[in-house]
Amino acid sequence: MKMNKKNKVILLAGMVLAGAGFTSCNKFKDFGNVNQNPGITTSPITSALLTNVESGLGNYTWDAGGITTLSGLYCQYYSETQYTDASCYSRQQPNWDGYYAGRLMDLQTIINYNSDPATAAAAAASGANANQIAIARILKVYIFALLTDSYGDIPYFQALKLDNGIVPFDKQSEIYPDFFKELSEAVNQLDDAGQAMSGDIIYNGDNTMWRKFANSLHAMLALRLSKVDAGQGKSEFNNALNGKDGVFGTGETAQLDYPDGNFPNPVYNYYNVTLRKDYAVSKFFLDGLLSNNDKRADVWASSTVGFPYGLTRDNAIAFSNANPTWARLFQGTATSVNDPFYILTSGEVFLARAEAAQMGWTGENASSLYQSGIQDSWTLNGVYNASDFNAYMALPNISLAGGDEIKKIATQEWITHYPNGRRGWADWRRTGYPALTPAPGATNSYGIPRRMAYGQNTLTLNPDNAAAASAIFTGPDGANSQYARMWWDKN
Amino acid sequence: MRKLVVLLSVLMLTFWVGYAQAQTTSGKVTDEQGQAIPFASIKVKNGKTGVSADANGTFLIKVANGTVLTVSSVGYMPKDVVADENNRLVIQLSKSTDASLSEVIVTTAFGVKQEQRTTPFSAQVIKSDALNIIPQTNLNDALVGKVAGVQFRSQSGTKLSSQSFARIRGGLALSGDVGPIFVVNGTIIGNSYDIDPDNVESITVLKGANATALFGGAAANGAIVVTTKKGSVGMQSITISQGVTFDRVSRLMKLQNEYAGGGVDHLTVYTWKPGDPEEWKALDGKSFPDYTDDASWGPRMLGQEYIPWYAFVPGTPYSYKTASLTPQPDNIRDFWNHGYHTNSNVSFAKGGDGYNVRMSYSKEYIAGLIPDSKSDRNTLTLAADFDLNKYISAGVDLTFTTQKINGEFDDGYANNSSGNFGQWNHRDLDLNLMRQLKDYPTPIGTVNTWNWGANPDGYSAADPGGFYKANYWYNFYAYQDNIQNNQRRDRLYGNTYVKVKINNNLSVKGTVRRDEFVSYYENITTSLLEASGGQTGTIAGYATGNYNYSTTDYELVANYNQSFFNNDLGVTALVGGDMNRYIRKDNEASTTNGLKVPYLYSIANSKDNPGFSNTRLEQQTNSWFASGSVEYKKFVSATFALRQDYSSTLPAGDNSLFYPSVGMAFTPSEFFKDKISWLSFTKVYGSWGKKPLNLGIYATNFGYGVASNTYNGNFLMSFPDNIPDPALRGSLITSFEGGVELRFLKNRFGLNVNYYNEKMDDQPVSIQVAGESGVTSKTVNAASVKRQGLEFTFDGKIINNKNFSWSVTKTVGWLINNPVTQIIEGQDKIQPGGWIGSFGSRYASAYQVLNQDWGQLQGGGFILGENNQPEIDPNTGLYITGDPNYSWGSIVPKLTGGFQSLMTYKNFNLNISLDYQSGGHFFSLSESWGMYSGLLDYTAETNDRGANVRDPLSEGGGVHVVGVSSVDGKTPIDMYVDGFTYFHQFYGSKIAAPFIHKLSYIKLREVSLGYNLPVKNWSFTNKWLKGATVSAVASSPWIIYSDSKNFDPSEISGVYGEDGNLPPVRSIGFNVKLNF
Repeated sequence: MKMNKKNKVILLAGMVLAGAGFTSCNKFKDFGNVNQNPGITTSPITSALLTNVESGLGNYTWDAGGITTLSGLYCQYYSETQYTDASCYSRQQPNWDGYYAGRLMDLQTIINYNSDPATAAAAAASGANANQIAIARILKVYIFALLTDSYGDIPYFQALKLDNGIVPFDKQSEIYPDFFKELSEAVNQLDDAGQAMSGDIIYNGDNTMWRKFANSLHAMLALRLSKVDAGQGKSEFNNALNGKDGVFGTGETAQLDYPDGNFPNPVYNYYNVTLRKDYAVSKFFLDGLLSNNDKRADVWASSTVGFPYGLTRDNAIAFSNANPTWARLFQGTATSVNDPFYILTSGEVFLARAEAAQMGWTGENASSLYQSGIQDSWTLNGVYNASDFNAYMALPNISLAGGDEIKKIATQEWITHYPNGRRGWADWRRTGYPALTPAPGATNSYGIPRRMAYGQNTLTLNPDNAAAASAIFTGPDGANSQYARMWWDKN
Repeated sequence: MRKLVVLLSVLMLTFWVGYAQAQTTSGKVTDEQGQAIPFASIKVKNGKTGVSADANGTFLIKVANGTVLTVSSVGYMPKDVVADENNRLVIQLSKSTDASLSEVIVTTAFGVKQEQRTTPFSAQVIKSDALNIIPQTNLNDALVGKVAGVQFRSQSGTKLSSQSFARIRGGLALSGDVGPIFVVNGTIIGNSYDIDPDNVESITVLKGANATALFGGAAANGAIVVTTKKGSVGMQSITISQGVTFDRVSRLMKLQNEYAGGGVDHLTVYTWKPGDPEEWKALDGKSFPDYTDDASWGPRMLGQEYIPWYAFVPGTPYSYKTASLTPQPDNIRDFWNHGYHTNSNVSFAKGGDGYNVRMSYSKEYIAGLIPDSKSDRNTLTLAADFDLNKYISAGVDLTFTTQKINGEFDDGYANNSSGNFGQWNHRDLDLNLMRQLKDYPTPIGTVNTWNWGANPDGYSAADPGGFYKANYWYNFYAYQDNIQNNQRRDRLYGNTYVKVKINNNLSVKGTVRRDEFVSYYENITTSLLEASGGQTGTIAGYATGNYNYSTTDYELVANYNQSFFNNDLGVTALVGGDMNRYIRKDNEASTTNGLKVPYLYSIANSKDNPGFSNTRLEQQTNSWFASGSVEYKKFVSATFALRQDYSSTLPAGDNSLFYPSVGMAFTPSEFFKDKISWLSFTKVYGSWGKKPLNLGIYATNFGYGVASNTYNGNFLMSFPDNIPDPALRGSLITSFEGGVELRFLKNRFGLNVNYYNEKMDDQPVSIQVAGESGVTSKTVNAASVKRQGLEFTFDGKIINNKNFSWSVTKTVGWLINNPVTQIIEGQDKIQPGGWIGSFGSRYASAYQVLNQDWGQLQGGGFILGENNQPEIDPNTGLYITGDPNYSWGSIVPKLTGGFQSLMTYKNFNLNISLDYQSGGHFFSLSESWGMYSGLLDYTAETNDRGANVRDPLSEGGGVHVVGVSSVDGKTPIDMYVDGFTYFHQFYGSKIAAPFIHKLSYIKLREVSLGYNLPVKNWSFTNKWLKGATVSAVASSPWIIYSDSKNFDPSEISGVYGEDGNLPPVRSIGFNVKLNF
């Protein structure tokens, strides 16, 4: 090959220089901070994580994503007014990713960041490590309980490990004891000598209130075991009452006070911002209140026209057209943006204690707890006055004096949980009260759903474990049935 | 960077040394039109020495003054010229008469041009005459059907911001569709949208790794390389062209014309009651249909007297009057405007010894289908090259585009036009009347509607808004008037270069490239619209945003080419480096939850804290690369390419990707072309290579953002939903392609068969994981996809006479398979990020499924019993809840292709382009609602008992259902189900089966009939007019075949389906082109 010498030299020199120029230059390989996203920080502020978790608890309680009110529909607090699929029991399979990858992971991060010796000191800027961990543990139990009470067996012990999510489902019967353990330990972990946790929009870092909330939640969860394991239920119920600082007293609640339109009351938001009117107060629920002159009806519904539950779409639209003033939740469009959402109230806790007492789990006076529970609920809703209240309590179907105590207490529990369908549906499944009639427009004859079917995401992405769990919950509509019963559902 | 400067200085110095010693003649070889002929051979007459011209036709030769040089090139007559040191030679060759086709030149990275006869990879070249059969607004539209193995998915130009999509050879990235890059004169621009087809000279489509390697990571899915027109040597020209086309909606969903709107199947008598408006007394005793329900399950339209919706709008000739209820079969067609678009272009070009300049200005105006929607785009280009002397040349090439787009034309569910007409609507609406009444307010001052918030019997004097406020939808025209969406897009791209030709063998070129995009939008939803709505979900607001991004490249490339052994051995080499800088800064803000002061549209007027976002992206990539080729006797050639990228997006310790490729081509016909007369050319080629798959910007980052709103003064943070695998890295695609190219009968017919096999392993992909992990997705290197297929291109000059010529091109791409071979361990099905939760997830959407072809359409299928009969509940006659994992197969067509015919007879030419595809599936969300709402034709068809499916079962109505019992899976079921119930079941049972269609179609895409006026024969024009062409054009005149009757499968807007797709249009128009 006869390559021109000069060219050869030039080419070689060029290549060598180019090679040297491009590869030896450090700047050619080193880009400094170019790939550092300027909008994020690698260190979380744990108080901000807590605020984030708490700000969403109202929506969580009403099922994922705001006012999609599946459990409230199943326990017939609400009716659907135009698209009645859910209340006619068409199969719903809500995904739970928003719980795990959302607030639960935030809580786990608070725990991790406060536990890891490398980060604990930095985390302490938001409060004593022990206080932060304890609050996060309490809220974790709260959210996990929503999940297991909806689906039954769920990933629990192996969840939130940031792996590929192929994790086993744990038995509800094994999850509940861990709830009790976590709550008891958290109550004892809260350290009044340590700095209070900041970012706490529920209790402003008040450890005493957190203990009361944890014990109250402990009691509510213990009561879930009344049919499946009364022994454990009884002992845990007593553990809850005897926990440090005890349970909620009169007027004590866990509640979210919504500050403004960026964090609005969900009912306000629903009727005023999304501008929909798909949900009404059910006729069954509202008529029940009205027939007893229960004053809470004035606050809980925008009119006295309850919407019949579980109609077909045609019938629902016909009713809606004929009754344009049908009852919206609370005050409908007039609901205040600032109205609070109650996560747990003293009224509910008193009624739980009344039921426990009635079952002989405690030595407390069922009748007076019953009265306190209802009265607290009236008071909280701003409708208490002695004459109406006393008249109400004297009604034969309200007063415990006439017998049927469990039925009456359970019915009052169902009423008092309103609008929290999570708790209303759970107590209805557990006690069987009140007697609910399945939707007249139901698409099948299997009755009222008793669990939510696992969502498509876990079935697809955690396939083997989800399939195994689905097989456990086999009902008339096959595996992963919404009619199969979970562990504590023995009514 | 300093080192680069040093390098440049050294090279310049070398050049000066070379310059000082040279006794050299320079020249340029062009065709008769003045366009460069690359790689022409320049030899000393009767001597042995000689050189080849480069890709731009230029050469330097060191010979004594007065030497005679013979210049030749395949397909041209050789020509002798006399060398003269002082004069630069411009040699024009004329086409030889015996060869029918000249050499096709392929353009690859860095402007490297190669003769197609020796390229070892598939590279299809499309010239402007085949490309611009008719004026198209979008380059992709112009390419449809013309490139083997490329599926173009685009909507008509009337979708004003349509960013159409090209999919080369099926899918490879698990994360979803990634299209090819578009490269204009070496500058990579992301999409085809701002390329003015008027400026395109030719297009080379490159697919495999060996072909695209030097473009770097952006070209992982192929490259469409555009060469624009240039001024030509010795010519000056002015061209003016003007096109106008008129657009008419061509295909609409087939809707029923039997039953009126509403959810109630009868009219209801209205009885005036105290409190109702006094004027309504006139309607007392008359009957109304259900206005509130937005479906069409209303009464049969028999011309009966009824109270139309507009009777309640005061102040019109129709106020408080009844009308007769009659079908409106053309109402949807009436809504769509008669759109048009005009395309004007003027260009000036001049070239001479050592320079060429071209300027072009185009204006494209589109009046959209939706009232008041329009686009106005102006494109100015300037391209100039000049030779400073024999050695130094420089040039600039810039395109500036500015476009204004107005109107609300996004298609999608619930958009008060295309998302409405086939999904939720009343079939009895007279839209011409609706247009006439759009400015008449209701008594409460709001916009009127056909979908009143209540029926008249529900009117309450205490709350007139309960009636007058629109339940779900507005008067369509009034809606459009109250949504003001405006955007402006400015884009500037191009390059400038300096090239030093050191000697005939070696040149160095430094280029700076830039692609800059600046855009803003302002969207207003008026307070009037909010005040007029019930459940419409419309809140007044103002949103605005600015986008600004730019990509800059600094390139330095040395080119070497030399021939040895009497030109038997040709060697080329290229070495260079590139520094690429990408920056994006966007700011957007919008009002939240309405406006404090109605009708005041500003961010500060936001009712709650405004929403805002602030995007800051930056990426830097530095690369060096080398490539070369060796060619022996035009019989065998071998090429290689190497490139190493250092990228800021890769992990700091492991931030380089190195990718080699090699290829070989044999041309055995060089030996036997004289023996086998009918076989003029044979090439066998193959190439193998790697292509990089870079990480996205910040893909390796993990961190916590801060929410913009505070909760009572407390700020919020959350754990991210996606986390990167700490070991995340870039990866490589391996690509093989090989094929045969044959030409027959003196090159008149050609056939190219190309096979490809590509594999993308360890893809870095954000993969969906079960939420129980604590996140919903992780970015990991965990996916492999393969694809293989065949591509055929056939071309023929069937007739080639002086007066009559007819040539055809046919392309076929066959995707043999495209399997996903690996996902994350333990998973066998995932959804890429962009596909999760998009429309249709209730029914069907696309997934990546292990061991199945890329992009599987899955969702609610019938549960099948014996003999594959659907299982039916024997009590109700309804299907049981669908199988959510039913798979219809891939969303990618198996076969894509096209056919073009260019025919010339004397001064007439007739050009036709047709394209087709077969296989692939899509889901129609519109149909699912159209069925639910009783709009589709078959919801009111006559059943096999002769009654309408909506008639009562007792009167022979109902839908005939056949299947097997869900109880045992085999007992035959044969019964009738009430129409309303039947058509409503699919929503609840989540069965998608009736709404899945194949993407198969055959479409006549373009027809153009042109006439070249004989201006040169006319005494009054021959002095000043070189040419004049008039043509009649038609775009998409005929969908010859399609599997779906409601949609044009070539215009499905979503990856796996449609959702209120804007209807396709048929455009007819004409074009005039003058050449001075």
